[in-house]
Amino acid sequence: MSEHLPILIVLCPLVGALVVPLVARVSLRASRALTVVATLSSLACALAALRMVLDGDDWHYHLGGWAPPWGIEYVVDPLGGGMAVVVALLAALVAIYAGPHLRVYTALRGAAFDSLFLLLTSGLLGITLTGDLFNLYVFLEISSLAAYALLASGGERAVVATFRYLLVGTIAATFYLLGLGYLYALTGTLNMADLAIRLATVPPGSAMTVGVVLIVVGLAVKMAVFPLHGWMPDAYTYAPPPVTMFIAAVMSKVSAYALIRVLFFVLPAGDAVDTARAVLSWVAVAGVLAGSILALAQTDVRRMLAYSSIGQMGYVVLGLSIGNAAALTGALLHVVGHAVAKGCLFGAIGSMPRQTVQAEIAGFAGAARRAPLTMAAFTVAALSLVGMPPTAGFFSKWYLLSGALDADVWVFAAVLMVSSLLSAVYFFRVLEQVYFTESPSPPDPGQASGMPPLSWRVVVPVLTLGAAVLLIGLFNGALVTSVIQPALPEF
Amino acid sequence: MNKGRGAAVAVIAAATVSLDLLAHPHGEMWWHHAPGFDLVFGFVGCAVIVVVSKAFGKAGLQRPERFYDDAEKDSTE
Amino acid sequence: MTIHPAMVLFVTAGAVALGPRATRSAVMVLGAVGALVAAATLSHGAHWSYAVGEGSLQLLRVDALSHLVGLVFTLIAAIGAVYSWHATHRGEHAAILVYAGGALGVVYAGDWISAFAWWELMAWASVFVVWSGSTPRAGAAGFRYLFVHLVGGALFLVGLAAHLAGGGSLVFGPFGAPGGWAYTLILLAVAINAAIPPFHAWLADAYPEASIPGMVFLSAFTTKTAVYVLIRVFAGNDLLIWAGIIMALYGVVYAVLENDIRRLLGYHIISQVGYMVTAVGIGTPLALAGASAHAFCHILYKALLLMGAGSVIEVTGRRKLTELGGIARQMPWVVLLYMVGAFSISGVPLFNGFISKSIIITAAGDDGRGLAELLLTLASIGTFLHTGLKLPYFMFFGPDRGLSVGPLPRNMIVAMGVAAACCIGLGVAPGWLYARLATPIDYHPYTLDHVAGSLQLLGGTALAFWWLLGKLRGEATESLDTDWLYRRSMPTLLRAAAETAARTGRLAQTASRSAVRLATAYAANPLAHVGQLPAAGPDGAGPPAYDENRYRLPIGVTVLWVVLALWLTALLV
Repeated sequence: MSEHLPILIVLCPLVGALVVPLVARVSLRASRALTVVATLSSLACALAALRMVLDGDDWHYHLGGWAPPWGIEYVVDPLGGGMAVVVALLAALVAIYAGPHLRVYTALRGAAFDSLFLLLTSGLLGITLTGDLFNLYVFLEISSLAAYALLASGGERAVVATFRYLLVGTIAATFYLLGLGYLYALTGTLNMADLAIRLATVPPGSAMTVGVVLIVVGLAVKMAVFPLHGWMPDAYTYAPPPVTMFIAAVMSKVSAYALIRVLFFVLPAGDAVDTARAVLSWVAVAGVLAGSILALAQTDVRRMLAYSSIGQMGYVVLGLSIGNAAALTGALLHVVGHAVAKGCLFGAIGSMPRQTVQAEIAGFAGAARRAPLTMAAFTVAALSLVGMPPTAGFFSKWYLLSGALDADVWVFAAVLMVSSLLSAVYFFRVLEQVYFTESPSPPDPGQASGMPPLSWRVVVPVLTLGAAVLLIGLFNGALVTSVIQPALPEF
Repeated sequence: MNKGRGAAVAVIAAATVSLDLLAHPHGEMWWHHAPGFDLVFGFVGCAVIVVVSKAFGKAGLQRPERFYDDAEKDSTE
Repeated sequence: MTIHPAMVLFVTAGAVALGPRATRSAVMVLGAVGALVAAATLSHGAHWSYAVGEGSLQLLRVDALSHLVGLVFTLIAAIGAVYSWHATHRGEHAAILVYAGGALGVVYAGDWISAFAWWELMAWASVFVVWSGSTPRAGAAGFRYLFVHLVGGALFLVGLAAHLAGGGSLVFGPFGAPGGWAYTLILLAVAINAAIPPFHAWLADAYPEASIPGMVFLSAFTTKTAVYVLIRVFAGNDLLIWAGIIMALYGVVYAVLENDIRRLLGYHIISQVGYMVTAVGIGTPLALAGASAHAFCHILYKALLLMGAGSVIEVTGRRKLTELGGIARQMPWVVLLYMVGAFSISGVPLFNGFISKSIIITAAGDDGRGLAELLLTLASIGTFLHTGLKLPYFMFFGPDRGLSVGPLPRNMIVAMGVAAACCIGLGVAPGWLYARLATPIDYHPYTLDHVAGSLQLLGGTALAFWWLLGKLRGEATESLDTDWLYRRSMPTLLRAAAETAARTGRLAQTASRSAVRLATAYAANPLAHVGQLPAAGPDGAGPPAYDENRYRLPIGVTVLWVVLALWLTALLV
């Protein structure tokens, strides 16, 4: 069994997605339990695979026994394995978190939610583990379609927001496919490792350029890189809380991972990649600043966090584009840290009962008294995004800063600092409401939309993520040396 | 009352200045050796501080209370 | 195993935050006293070291300087914990403990990275302490405070990264070669925390808005930690001499104009820290010893003064000199203990200010800096004028306005008593302090010369005070300080930035709409239906709140941008 671990990581949620609707006809509770079990087993497999890979070599698993480059290959290396663990962990936590939310659904709808959620998880896990670029596209589409359905389940505004996302997302995926097509036409292979070898021998020309550009732009849209981010704030704001918690935490990070794979592991170092990175760097600077400034103007906390995500993904792109060891370390650490922190933030927000549909900042007055533990986790995650030691965000910012200074680009260092200041302002605005403002009369439970705040199913995942933010920060040395540094490409 | 006060002042001044005469001053500057220097310096210095500060205040540093509150919004908006 | 005093405080903070209300105050006092014991029993050396890369993180480096400063920090934490016994807000207690722990962390740090990490922790914990005032003013002041300190933190971070990137040593100590970007940036960051003008306005702005126990703690830690860093790293920098002198006089000048009693004391913090900064700038062993001794004593008597002022506010509910007066008979103990603090800060013989401030002034004279010596003495005159004469006269004595005085919690008097005892004890037996200074000094404050000089100075000031009594009444005004720059400009700037970002997006949308209209020959134009911008702007008073529905870009615009990005990138790549 254990020799099939890589495929099991993806199969557990996939099979679960198919089985859950059937089980739900018998018992809704059983299907919920099955969802959680599926994600947990995927997590267990991912952890086991990662452990094996860290001790030894990368694991190449041939699907169905077909050898590459004809067959589809799954590769577990420290980078992919680490990402898979992060995705699986978040999936498991959100599966638990979604329990109280689904109580208001009918059995059929609840089962559909779980099924789609598992599909999304398997799609994302597939992206992190696959060694074949076309397989990546397949999983990209699986995850995107499941995501569209999940995002749209939040009500009328969510439907419109998701439709907008659908339009742009499909175009992005198509661009990726087209770009892949060009690369395939040049080399005749779709396997990543094989492509890397063959592309090195292909002379640079317009076909490769177009291919690179298409892939980069396609993935940039999925990552919500400024200015291609228009779909994101609405999609995050109107979706149901568990959905936002998962998607905000993980989807853009997985797309970032795909971009890192393509830019650093597949494409040959050369003018095309260098220019792409230069363009990305200026785009990233604009994104970091624009995200932070626009976040400041928001009154709805979810929208504020969405714009904050745009800024934070800008950090990752900045690290990618600087490209030296320290900057890449910072970018990868930030991917992990931000995934955990954003999941925690959206989870904490989703757990607050609200008077109206919108999550106004003023609505958080006195929240610390009503939900002290979730708000404590919220505070830790917020401080991570601002970059306060000893949270994860500080260390990723430190690495990014070192990378920028090593590469003598002081502008980027200044941009990092300015955006930290702006993040501090908009987060501390919320924190002030939470801790030092008295709440008005308690909200009428009959009118509340959102999650009942005290269920352990809601509190435990949020607390776990908050603790993870701190732990990743405190033990970032171990994480960097054992997982991230082996994952870096050779320089 | 004022005469009492004046007398007290004179006594204190005399006492401290006489202490000064008894003491062995050390230090290089001329004022270290001048008896009664600190008394005069204290008086004059205090007066100078008050006058100068008040002048600054009148010159524009002092504003009515709640000066910022009219125009002040939350600095984060 | 050696115990890090900061860890004791953090554990206490956790216990306070999660524990029941009944035991909260006791736990806090117990924890602070425990930290004091831990600090007092530390042995010199580098404990808690962790190898990292090529250097090592040293979380607990104990030498004479850090031992001394750690001692006084934990002492004031304990005294303050007693003083805040009656406060009920658990967030306030926890924030205070975390703040104090952060300060201790910086003091005991042996490497730059740890020092920076604790510095940041101190900054954000102190924001919560400012917010503990729980008024809208406290909220706004806390934000300005946060912003200033984050700028400082960012400067520190960039400077530190530059220092390490340039091959600098990780050890928390003087730079190999003063000057250069890293040195300047870190010096700026420390200057902000030390409240050196023009970066000082945050202190008088934010400190008085904190709760009554809160300000006692705030006065002790942020500025003295900055002074500690100055002593460790920037000793002998000539710029600091004049910065310190300007500080000392600046605080005194503003204090003349001040009406709010805690703000007045805040300006005096700036003034007294000016002495320490000047001493660090002079850099001779005597001067550095004076700086640390003065820091030690200042923490104690400043806390005592603030505790006294806080007691007045607690029982009368009033904080302005124009509203106080005539309450001496109703609170004799407070008056007495306050005067101990006032005499200490003024340098009256037998109190602890006398034994520390005079070291600095003598050091200035010994180093041949006559003008500096005179100016510092002038500042001393001003200090006595305000804290020793003006403030107590108008707070306690002066015309009776018929104020009703509520009951004073006992713990406040006890805390003040302990602090006063320390002040007098140090003043009477300065050898205890002198023996623990980083560099042993041969200094005897109780010479006839010194005592006579001090008495004369004080006497002269008192005379001038009686003469100018009428002019020194408080006036119901506010003074402008350098924070005017960002209090007026900041809100407008930020709002303008958000509007510009959104307006640029709208411009892009208008441009692309025209482009699409041109291309409408072959396709129906869906944008006219999808376009969501209302034609007219909002009417009504006040600036519009950011309405997401005004600025939403139709998704078609994003699609267009995707295609444009494609072409642009293809052209460039």
